[in-house]
Amino acid sequence: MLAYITRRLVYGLVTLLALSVIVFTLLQASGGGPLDRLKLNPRMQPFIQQLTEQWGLDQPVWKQYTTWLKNYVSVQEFAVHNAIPIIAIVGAAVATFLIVKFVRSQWTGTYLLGIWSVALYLALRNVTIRFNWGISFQGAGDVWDLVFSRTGATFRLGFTALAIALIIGIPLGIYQAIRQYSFFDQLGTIGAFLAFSTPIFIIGVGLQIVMALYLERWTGVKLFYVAGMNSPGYPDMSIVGKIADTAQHLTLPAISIALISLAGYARFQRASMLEVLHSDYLRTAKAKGLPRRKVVIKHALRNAMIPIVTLVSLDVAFMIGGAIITESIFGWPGVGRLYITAIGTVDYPVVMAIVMVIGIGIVVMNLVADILYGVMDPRVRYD
Amino acid sequence: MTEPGKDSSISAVDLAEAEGMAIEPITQWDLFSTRLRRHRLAMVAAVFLGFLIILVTVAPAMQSAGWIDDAAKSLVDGDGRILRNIPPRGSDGTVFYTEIVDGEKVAIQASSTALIFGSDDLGRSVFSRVIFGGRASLIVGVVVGLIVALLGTLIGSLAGFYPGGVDQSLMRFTDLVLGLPLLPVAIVVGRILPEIDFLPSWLKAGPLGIALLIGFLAWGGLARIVRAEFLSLREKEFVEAARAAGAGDRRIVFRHILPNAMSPIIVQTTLIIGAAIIIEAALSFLGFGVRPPTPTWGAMVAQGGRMAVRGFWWEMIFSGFALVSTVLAINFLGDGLRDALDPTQTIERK
Repeated sequence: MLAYITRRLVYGLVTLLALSVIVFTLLQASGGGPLDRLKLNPRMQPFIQQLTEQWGLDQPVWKQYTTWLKNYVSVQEFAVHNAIPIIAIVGAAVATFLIVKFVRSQWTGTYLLGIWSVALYLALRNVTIRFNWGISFQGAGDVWDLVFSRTGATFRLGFTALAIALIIGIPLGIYQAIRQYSFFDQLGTIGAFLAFSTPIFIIGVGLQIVMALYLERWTGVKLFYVAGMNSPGYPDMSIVGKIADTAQHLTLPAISIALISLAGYARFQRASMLEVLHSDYLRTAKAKGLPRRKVVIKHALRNAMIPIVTLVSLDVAFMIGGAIITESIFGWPGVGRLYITAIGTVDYPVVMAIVMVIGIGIVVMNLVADILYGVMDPRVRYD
Repeated sequence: MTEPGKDSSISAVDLAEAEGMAIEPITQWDLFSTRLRRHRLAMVAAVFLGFLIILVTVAPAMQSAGWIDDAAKSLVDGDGRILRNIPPRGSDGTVFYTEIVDGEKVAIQASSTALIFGSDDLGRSVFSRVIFGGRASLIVGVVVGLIVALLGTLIGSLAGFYPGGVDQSLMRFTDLVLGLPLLPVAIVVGRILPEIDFLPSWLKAGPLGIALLIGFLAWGGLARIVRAEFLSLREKEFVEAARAAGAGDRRIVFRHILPNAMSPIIVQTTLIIGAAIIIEAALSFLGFGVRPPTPTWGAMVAQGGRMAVRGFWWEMIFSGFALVSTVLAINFLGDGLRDALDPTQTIERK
């Protein structure tokens, strides 16, 4: 198992290196440099030479790349504020050892994932760590600070979308499987096809125009906002007002990201449930005379839920892509919109930082998906 | 009981010939087409796609013949004089709005019986632009389909047929390509493409460059599927029999294994074509895909969305509808192909 994880991590590192080389070379291949805009301004002339040297733009490309890589992985600032991080990590390690050694349950993987999420969260909350990701070429400051000032917004959007997709999609798929070929099942199938075939930006722009803009025009009720994360007067609102304001801003972009994933989960859950429902051990359970409810929930559902875990983990990568488009439609101040802005102005350090964050996310989520799958399904073995 | 075979004196074919009838064998193609024809939605989708392909192919001819409006020209001239198709205001409920864009007078014309899809913000016929926008989408679909089918099949079959070093290195490469985040990388390339000096101009701003880009990023999934098929088919008895009969690698791959692996290749390629059209549209929507003035559905939805904010809904509705229905048709066709190509499905007689 440990050998498997190590090997996967090495492959992941190679992928990330390749990704960084590709994107870095591409950015270099663009005509003109990041200083082109400044060159038009006569007052900037004295600084051009200085900035060129400071950013290393006069160096050969491979030199610039190695400098970037060295900086990207080097820690600029590291401080542990109290003992909590150490306690959390040591505690999680001990718990992992105990669980692996003594607990024999299907849920081992879930326990481990939960424990490590909490531990890492606690550790990171009490640690200041900054990597040297460079300075934005467009004067937006330190790239690490810039990117991490935007992650909160993206996580808020992503988790809401994931929650919507899971809460609606999975029960929908289960219901469709239990009532296979009913009218509702057929309707769900057509709906899924429609969702798969509709680009996320059409859903986004459509919701924005109909639900936010025209709805207000026709009824005079402002139910949803067109853009942004909070109203300008947000800090002065009451608690209820704050929640309502957040929901009014969050709903539409979250739905537009969730819809395609929702259809995917429903389809997947339906297929997985149907497979289990037609299996021999379920026929045995029915033949023993167990009540239908018990057969479906205890025997079928438990096993039918396993594959969906993998899908959800892999889907996080897809959601990042969806967030890029949705955030730029709804003016959501997250990482995705920062990415589009940075690409538009060829702000190399910001583009590189975000591409690598997305790449790391995909590698880690792929690994988590595979490990969880193996832990939950005892038939899977790693070698 | 008589054993059918060479030594049995009378066969069904002999009997039929004696009666003056011929027995026609049911070929794989017959089975496939019968099954496909039974899938109503797939047939509707196929007809729709065929119609669309013909329409976008003859579009330039239709434009020069004057059957449809010029997709690149405004329907009003600089002085606001109407060149075509706009009836007097209000005569049949048509409304048009005049705006000044870059010092020139431009009329936005609403959807009406005279100009069914209306005009865009520069006064150009949305109907013509929807047809011409289909060219970009279909070029992307066809080119990406070709690249993915060729590359995915080639790499997948090499990896599946030659185990060991070839398999390992090819699959590591496939994993690497699959590990690249498609949309972020595509956005970077789409942004940079027009600025790379040494590239020919047809590659820089047109749909072909975007299609090549998506094609070279999207073949990984198919390669994995083909490899899995080859791994299982390689061990089958009929391959062993062919090898025992003295068939070489080339013959075994092309005559025995590949035909049996065709159905997942066809189905997967169809689905990737649908996804590729969506990605191209998304890139164009963001402004990093096919550059104006070439019309594309993605860019039209973006522009149409900005118009819809002001109440001019038609460009977005019609271009979005064209995009969704095309992708929907491709996905339905893929679904029908999947059912029709499944050899385990029995075909019942009526």
